[in-house]
Amino acid sequence: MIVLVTGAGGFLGGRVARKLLASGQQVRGLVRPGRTLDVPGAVPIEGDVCSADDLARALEGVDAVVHAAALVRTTGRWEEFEATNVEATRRLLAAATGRSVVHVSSLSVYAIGRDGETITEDSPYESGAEERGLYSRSKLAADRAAMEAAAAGAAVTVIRPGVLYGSGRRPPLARQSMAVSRFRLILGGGKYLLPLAHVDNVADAIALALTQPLARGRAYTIVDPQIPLSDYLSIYRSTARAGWRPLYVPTGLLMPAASLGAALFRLIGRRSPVTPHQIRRATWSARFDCSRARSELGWKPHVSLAEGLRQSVGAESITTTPALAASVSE
Amino acid sequence: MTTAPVRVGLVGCGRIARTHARYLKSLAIADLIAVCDPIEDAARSLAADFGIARVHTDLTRMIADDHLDAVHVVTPPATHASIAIAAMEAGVDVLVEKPMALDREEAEQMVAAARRTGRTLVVDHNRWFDPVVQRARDLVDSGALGEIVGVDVIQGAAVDEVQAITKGEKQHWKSELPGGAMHDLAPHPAYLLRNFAGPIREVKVCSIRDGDGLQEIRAVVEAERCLGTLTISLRGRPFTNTVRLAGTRKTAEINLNNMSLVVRQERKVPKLVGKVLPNLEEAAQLLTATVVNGIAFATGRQRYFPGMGILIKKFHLHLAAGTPPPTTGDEGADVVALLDALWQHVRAPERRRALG
Repeated sequence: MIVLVTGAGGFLGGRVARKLLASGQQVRGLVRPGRTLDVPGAVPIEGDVCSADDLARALEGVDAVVHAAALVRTTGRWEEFEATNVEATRRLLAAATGRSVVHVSSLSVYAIGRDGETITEDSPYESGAEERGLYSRSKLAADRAAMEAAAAGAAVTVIRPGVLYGSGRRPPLARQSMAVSRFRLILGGGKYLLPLAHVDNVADAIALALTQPLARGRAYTIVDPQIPLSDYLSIYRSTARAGWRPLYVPTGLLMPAASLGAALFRLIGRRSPVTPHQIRRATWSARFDCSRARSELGWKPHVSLAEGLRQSVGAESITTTPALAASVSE
Repeated sequence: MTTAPVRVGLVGCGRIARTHARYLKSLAIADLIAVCDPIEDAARSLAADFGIARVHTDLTRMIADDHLDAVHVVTPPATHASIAIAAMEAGVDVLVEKPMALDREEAEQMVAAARRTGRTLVVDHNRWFDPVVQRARDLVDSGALGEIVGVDVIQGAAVDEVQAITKGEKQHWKSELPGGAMHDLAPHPAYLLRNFAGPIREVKVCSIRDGDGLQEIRAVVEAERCLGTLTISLRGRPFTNTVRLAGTRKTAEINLNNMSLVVRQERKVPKLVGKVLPNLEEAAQLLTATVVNGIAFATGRQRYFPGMGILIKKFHLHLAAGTPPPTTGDEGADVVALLDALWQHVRAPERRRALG
C-alpha cells in the first residue's frame, strides 16, 4: 500500500510516516516547498496542502492518505486558518475519493458541558468554538467536513487525539501555567485530568485505522490514561528533577475578574484576551472514553506516561547540551 | 472498557477491606467496582456501606463478569497465595495484604506466577510510605546520614487484642499463623529492616515464651548494606514503634507512633555546651514535629498510618501511568523468608527441650 502523509515534516506526521514504513508500507510525505523530510525511506513530495494542483500530483497512484497537516498557532488571521485547516481538508477529501483517508482532528471539537463529564465519540460538538480561538474553530469545521464526507459514504476515519507530546516535544505542565520564581502557577486545581496523548500511541491508532475496515466512516478519541494533574506533576517533577513547586490558582478567584474584563472589553468593542469560557475550558476536565478505539481498532496505549516522560524530558536535555558536548570534546 | 480509571475488585470483606475501600473511593484513577467474599453477608454489608454495585462469592467469576483490571487481596494470610496466583492467572494485577504468604515457598510461587503471567504483584508494606519514614528515606538517599552502619527496628504490640489472641481468649485467624498473634505485626518491622539495611544474608534469633505463648523475639541480621536488629515485644509498655538509622555522619530515629524524626549529630563545641546542646536540638525537633502533626491532625490532612493510602495510590499510578510499583513481590518474599527464620527458631526441637 502506498500512503500519502500530509504534514510529514511535522511532529505527528513524521512519526506516522516512520510507523507506516516500519510496518512495510510505502510512504510519500507532503512537505512545504524548501523543507526537507527527515524520515529515511519516505519519498518527499514538495507541495502546498492548499494548492489543488499540488494535491492532485501528490495523490497520483496513492492508495491511502493520512491528513496530518494543519496550521497550529495561537495567533493569526482567520483567513489563514480557514485556508489551511478547513478548505485544504475539504479539497483533499474531494480529491481522494475512492481511497482510505485518516483525518487528524482534535479533542477541542468536543463540548464539555460540565466538569468531570465523560466524553465519547458521540458527544456533541463544541458550541462555543468561536470564543475558543481560531485554531479550535478551524479544527471543528474540518472535523465536520470529514464526518460529512464519511456520512456520504467516503472511506474516511477521524482521529481525535489528546494533547500531543513525545520524544522531541516536552509535555505541558497544564492547560495554562506560568513560572514565578521557584513556583509554577497552575490555573485550576490538582484534580484536573490533563488529556495527554503520546505521539507514538496516536501514530499506532492512525496506522490501525488505515488497515481496519470497521474504521471507515468512524471517529475515534485517542487519549492516554488520564491521571489527576497533581499526580502527573509529581511524576513530571521527579522525571525532570525539577526544583519548582506547583501552586494551584483556584478558578473561583479568577472568574469574577474575567467576567468583569470581558464586560469592559465589550464596552470598548473589542474581544477580551481571557474569557470566562476559556477559563472554564482550561480548568474543567473531562474523562475521554477511548473504548471504541480499543474494541474496534484493537488500540492500546503502548507508551506509558512514565516512559513517555522519560523520553520527552530526556530528549530536551540532550538537545540543550551541545555546548557541554563541545566543551568535553575539546 | 474505558482508558481510565482502573477497574478494581476487593477480595475479602473483613476489617482491613474497609480501609482499602475508603482509600480506593478517594482515588480518581481507580474505580472500586466489585467485592468478593465467601461469606455473602460480609460482602453485601461492605458493598452497601461504600456504594459498590457488584457483590460476588467467587473470585474468577468476579474478575471475568466485571472486566476487572486489578484486585486487592485482603483475606487472611493463609489464603493469599492461592487467591493471588488465581487472580494473576485470570489476567489481573494484584495488591496483596502483608504478610504476602505463610512461608517462603508460597511467596516464591507467587513471584513466579507474577513473572509467568506478566502481571504486577505488590505487597502492602505500607509503613515504608509513612511520611515520617519517607523523610528518613530522603535523608538516607541524599547522603546526609553518611554511610548507614546499623538499622535497629523495634515493634511493640499496640492493643490488648494481641495479648488476648496470644492467650487464646479471642478466636481469630491470627492465632492460627505460624508466628501466632506476633505474625501479623512482624511484617512491618521486617520490611523496614529489609529495605533500610538491604537484602538479608544471615539471621540469628533469640526468643522468650511463657505459658501464654511467644512474647518477645529479637533477631540480629547481617544484610547487604549493614548490620541490623529486629525486636518484637508484646509485653513492653508503653509499646514502642521505632527505627534507628545509624550513619557515619548522623543518626536518625523515627518514632512511628508519634510521627517524629530526630536527627543527632556531633558538634565541635566546648564540653559543657556539648552536654546541653544535643538535648536542646532534640527537644526543638520534637516540639516542631508536635506542632506540625497537631495542625495536620486538626485540619484533617493527617491520619494515623497514612502510608497505606500512599501505597495504594502508587499501585494504581503504576497501572495507569507506568510509574514504578511501590513494592515488589521479591521484597515481600524476602520479608517472608526473614519471618520463616524467626518462627523456625521458635519451633526448633532443641529450643522446646531447653524451655522444658
